[in-house]
Amino acid sequence: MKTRYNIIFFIAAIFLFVACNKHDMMNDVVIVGQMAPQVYWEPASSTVKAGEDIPFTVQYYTTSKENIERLEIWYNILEDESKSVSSPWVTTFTYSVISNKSSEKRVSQKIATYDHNPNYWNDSLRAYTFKSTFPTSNTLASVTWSKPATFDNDKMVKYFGNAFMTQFKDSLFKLMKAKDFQKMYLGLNLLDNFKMYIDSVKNDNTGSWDYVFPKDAQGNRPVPKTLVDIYATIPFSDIIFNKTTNVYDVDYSRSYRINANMKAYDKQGVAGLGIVKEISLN
Amino acid sequence: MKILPYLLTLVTAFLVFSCIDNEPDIEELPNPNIAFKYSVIDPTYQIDYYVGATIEFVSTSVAVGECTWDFGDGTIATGSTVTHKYKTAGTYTVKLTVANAGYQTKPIFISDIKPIVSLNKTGLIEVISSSVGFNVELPNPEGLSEEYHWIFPDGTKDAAGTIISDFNGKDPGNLTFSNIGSQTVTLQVKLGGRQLEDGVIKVPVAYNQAVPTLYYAVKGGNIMALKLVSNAPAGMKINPFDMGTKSGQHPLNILFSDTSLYVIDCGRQFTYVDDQDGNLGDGRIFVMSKDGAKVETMLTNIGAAFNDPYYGYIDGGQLYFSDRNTGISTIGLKERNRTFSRADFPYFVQNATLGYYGQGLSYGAMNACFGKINNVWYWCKTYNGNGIFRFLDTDILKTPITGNGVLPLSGIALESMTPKSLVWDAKNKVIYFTLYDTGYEGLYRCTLEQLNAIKARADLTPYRLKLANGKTITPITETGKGEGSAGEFITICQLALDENDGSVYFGLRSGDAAVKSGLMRYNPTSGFIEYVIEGIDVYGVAVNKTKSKLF
Repeated sequence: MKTRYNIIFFIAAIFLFVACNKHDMMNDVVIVGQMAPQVYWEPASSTVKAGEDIPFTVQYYTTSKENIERLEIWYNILEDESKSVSSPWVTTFTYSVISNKSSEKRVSQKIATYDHNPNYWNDSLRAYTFKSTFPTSNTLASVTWSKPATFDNDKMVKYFGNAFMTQFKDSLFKLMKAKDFQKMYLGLNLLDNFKMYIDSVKNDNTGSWDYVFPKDAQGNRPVPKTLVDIYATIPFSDIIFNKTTNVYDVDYSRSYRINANMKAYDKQGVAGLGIVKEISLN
Repeated sequence: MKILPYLLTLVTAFLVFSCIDNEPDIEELPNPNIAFKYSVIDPTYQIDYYVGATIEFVSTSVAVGECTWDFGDGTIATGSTVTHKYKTAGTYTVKLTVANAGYQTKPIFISDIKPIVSLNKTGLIEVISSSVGFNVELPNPEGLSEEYHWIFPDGTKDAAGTIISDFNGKDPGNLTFSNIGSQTVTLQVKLGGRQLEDGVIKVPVAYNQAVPTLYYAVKGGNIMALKLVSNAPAGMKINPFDMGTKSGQHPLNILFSDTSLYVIDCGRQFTYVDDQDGNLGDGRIFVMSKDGAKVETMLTNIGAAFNDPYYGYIDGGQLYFSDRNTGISTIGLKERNRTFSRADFPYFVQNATLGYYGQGLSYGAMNACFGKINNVWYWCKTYNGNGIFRFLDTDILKTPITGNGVLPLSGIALESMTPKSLVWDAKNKVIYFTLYDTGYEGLYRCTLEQLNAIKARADLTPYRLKLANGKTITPITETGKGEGSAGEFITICQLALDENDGSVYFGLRSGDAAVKSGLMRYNPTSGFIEYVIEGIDVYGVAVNKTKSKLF
């Protein structure tokens, strides 16, 4: 009887394992699939000059019956872009427009293929191994335009967009106080006498005198029309010109990174992947 | 009353169904069963994705149906495999829609044609004497007209020895350079009348004598190198070399040893963070070859932010690196691609394994620079136990304590002050250190005996170093203006000694409007602090004392 129960239990257990196609218990505890080649690879450097080939070393082997056929390098392209513009004329606040962003610009692509060669076998490593290189594009060289001594309107439009200069100027105007206008207009030699446009009022908190624009009939203190008209004539480049350092306070940089990986394919087309390596281009 | 439950049910039903917006729009998401790949089919510039290149798009979708491609530039095509040429450079979103199945999108980046400039010779290019020309590669598949305009840096001379600032034409011939450092040559090209992106090459111009090299990490920029030339001919400018390697997020210390520069970058988050899950760490140590040609990762931290590497010191084939506020660990100089874990990198020393703990040194005492002088460790602390805590290897306890330990005989220097960085000049037997105590900020120089005698801030005065105009230097310690807050301020985060002439280099983030930020040095010959490069924000500094013409 005992043996019969054991047989029944055993058969029932097998049924349990194979009967349910919704909850596959075997699949829940192991990864079912074909054995893929194992790959370990290392680029020689994590930073390279765009356009240069990247040297690497790879080790690979397989435990399946299928021989390895080829290896491939794949990488995507990510862009890091940084922009910064500021106006050095304002003193009552700091006005800078800064933006940093990273984005994938191109999806992972096959870049190079390397045929497997049985002569790559290394007894001490118990793996195939070889050294080679893969290419990068010159087009991915980093671009920097930082605090130039001469202003380039075309570059400004190219890197910051058509509307940026107008928006920057308009936004700055809304934030500027009398003291900022004074510093800018006198600094740019737009006026000889600024005092005729301002009043001074006692600041009860600090005890000092603050410069403000005169009140209008409604009791507001608008920017005098003459100053508004002058502001409209100031070129954007003057707005960001730093008279102390004689450069324009604009910075633009763009650089690229690749996430590279090595794939080893056996003759059935089953691929094993290495670890993704991030490489910066300059 | 029996009607009440029916009424309530009715009202509830009205409430539930009365809203006109009870069925919000369902956003159509990309379908994972739809996929595609793309590649340039022109063999010459396969990895460049130039404007005008023929790109093949292939659907690899599991879903079956008619394929419609939107290339993101206003053009559309149908078919499972299609080709397309983009007319303008930029980034486009390509959308593949499979009928009755859904869609998938991917970005594609189309590069503009730009001139590729390279040098026509290899080997050292020495200032004044070496001449060099340029190779230009310009993809021009449509045979458009080409206009070339070169812009040269100051001190460039043509083959006849005449100063040249620009040149129109494809080949400017061989040139020489009168200044040292990265000499930026720019090539502007119009192709068919259209201005292309500039082609830029930085020519590394070496000095004509062997001198030491200073490396420094620029905030938001690259690692730079500067030849430490003390006898340059009049008119020769000593410009820095751009090593082409990003400085990282907060490279508070960089260290030179043998032929490599070790960059200790504590990552994005160097101030206090409530890292409850212990996964905000992103600091790393990377190794750059002295010429910048090779960069390798030594150690990466992906765990707790406080375990990021902050400060370092090299001794006996080991790199000692501190975390934010607990201790110091070590890693062999030849180690590469290691991932930090406390099990693999146990503390060499920590606050609680010194007898100072509970007697001057408190929990979480903030780390700053450290080093070894005459076999004694000098460990700067700027918060929760301030001063330079000195100890011998034999003072390090095997297990952490909670207090009442035996105080190391070496003692605490600058107790209760904020020493951020230090360097020892063994030849002249003087220590340099920086403080940011209000009213006593700046750089100091004294002997070890004088250091021991400093018991109060007033004792510091004779050792405070000044600019030639009599001003002292004051790093930013105003929260919101500099980086960090109390105990964390970047200030002068590293000092580097040039053993050849005793100069001490550092980056100053100036908090004094009358003194600009920049790369500075103390010149022992003049006895003053002076500018090396004005107007830059610098983190770590290091000197390769081995003399060379280039690197």
